[in-house]
Amino acid sequence: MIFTFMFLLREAWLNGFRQRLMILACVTTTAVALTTLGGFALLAWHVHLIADALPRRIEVHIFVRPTVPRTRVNELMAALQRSQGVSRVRLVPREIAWQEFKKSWPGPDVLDGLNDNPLPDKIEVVTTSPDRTLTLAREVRAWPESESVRDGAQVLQRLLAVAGFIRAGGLIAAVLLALGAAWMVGNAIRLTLHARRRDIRVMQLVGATNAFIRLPFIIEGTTAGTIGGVLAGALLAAGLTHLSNTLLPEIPLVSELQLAIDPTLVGGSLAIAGAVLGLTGSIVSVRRYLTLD
Amino acid sequence: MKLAHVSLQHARGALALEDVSFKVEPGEFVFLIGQTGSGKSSLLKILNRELKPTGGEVWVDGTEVTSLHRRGVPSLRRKLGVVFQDFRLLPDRTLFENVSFALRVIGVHGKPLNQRTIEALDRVGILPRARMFPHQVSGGEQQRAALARAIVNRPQLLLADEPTGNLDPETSRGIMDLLLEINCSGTTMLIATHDQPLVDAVGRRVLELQGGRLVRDEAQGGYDSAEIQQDLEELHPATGGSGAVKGSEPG
Repeated sequence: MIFTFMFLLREAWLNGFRQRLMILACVTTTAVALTTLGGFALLAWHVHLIADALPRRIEVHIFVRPTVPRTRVNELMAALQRSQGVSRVRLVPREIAWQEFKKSWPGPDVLDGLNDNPLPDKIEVVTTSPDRTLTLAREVRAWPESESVRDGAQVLQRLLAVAGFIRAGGLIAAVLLALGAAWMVGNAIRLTLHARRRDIRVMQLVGATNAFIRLPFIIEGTTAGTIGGVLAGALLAAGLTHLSNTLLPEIPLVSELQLAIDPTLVGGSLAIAGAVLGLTGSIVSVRRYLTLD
Repeated sequence: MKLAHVSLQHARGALALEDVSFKVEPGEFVFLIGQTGSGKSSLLKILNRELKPTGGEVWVDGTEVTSLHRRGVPSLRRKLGVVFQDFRLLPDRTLFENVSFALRVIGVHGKPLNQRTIEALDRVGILPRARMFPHQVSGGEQQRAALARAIVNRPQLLLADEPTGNLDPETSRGIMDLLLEINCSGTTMLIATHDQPLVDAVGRRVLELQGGRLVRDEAQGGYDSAEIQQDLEELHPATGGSGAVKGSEPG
């Protein structure tokens, strides 16, 4: 049994070596397809994480009318503290906000003309759930003291729409690319079958079983797919490591989320995906083009 | 081996074989002759189940070939050795590898594989050429290698389709001697051929096909039937009839 398997492995290697250019094309296509597929999957996953985490990060910001005295603002804050589903209430006094703004403004000369502080007091409220953020925003909008309220609902809705689009687009692209890779493997096997038709004929005539004839081609396709998957995994893992060290920490919000995915997991998953694609492509091709009788 | 009322009609409607019946006993040496297109190759292909007849029954070593399930075909072929006019050796393998290939595919490996391959190569007289590739040896040696591949599985029946078709007369005689020697060890032989001098010289059983029909079954015949031979001898007493026939290649 082991001798037979070794012989089949040798036959698969010989097949691959004789068709090395085609196999190289097949490995490259699988690698490109799986890198893109993996890239889409990671992007969709990250957007999902951001979309999931964002509601918890968004606060309700209440800008109080400038005419409202600070004592009334303190009463409003106390009322908010007592309200259900509120975890934290913080006041950003208009004086401090104005100082911060002036510090961050690139050309202080322009602001010199302003004698009065145009900024209102701001109450920042952190809720315990995304739903409470939205209901609280509705409640405080009705207050006569509030000039405007920001609850981030629009941002959230847009982000969720983008996430949905990326997920759907990513899924379609992934399916198309996977089919393309499997087709490429199948085509390589088809050409190998054509090139080795004499050997196959001789095998049939001396009494080889169908499984014996088919196995080297299936081994060859699976190996090509696996190599493509490993290459894609290595590329993506390297890219991911590079991004997580350079670009991602610079992006607000994203840097705070624990987005680092284990590169070994990415590489391993893509290698398995490549093997499955190679196996599927070669089995379909062998069943379709290798007529045994 | 037994064929009973075997017919073969191609998809385009042409009749390749029509109601062919004959029986070959174990150990017999039989020539199958006839013009090109008479159905010789089709008959051999039916025997190793490359083709399925459209009618009749074919028995090989107790197995009814026509009703054999696809999974049973490899077992049937392991009982048969097949030799072709164009040798069908694998060009990128040595003669040793070509012969041992037939054993590997049926699961023989290691020492028995080497031993049996060497025996087969030695038996056909090309052991010194074992490490050479097909393109490095002569046509006769290539056919000997093909013969070694056919006998290495120790088949009960050897089918040969024009085994001397691509060889010069002297080499052909060598191959035919080899076939007779293999037959002496008990292997049944069915040889499809155009080689008139060899058929005449060997003087074994002859089956003749014409237009897909079996027209002659002669126990110790020549390429031409006994009646034609007699007529030719009467026409050309000096040459014994052979001069007139040699020029008329059956096609």
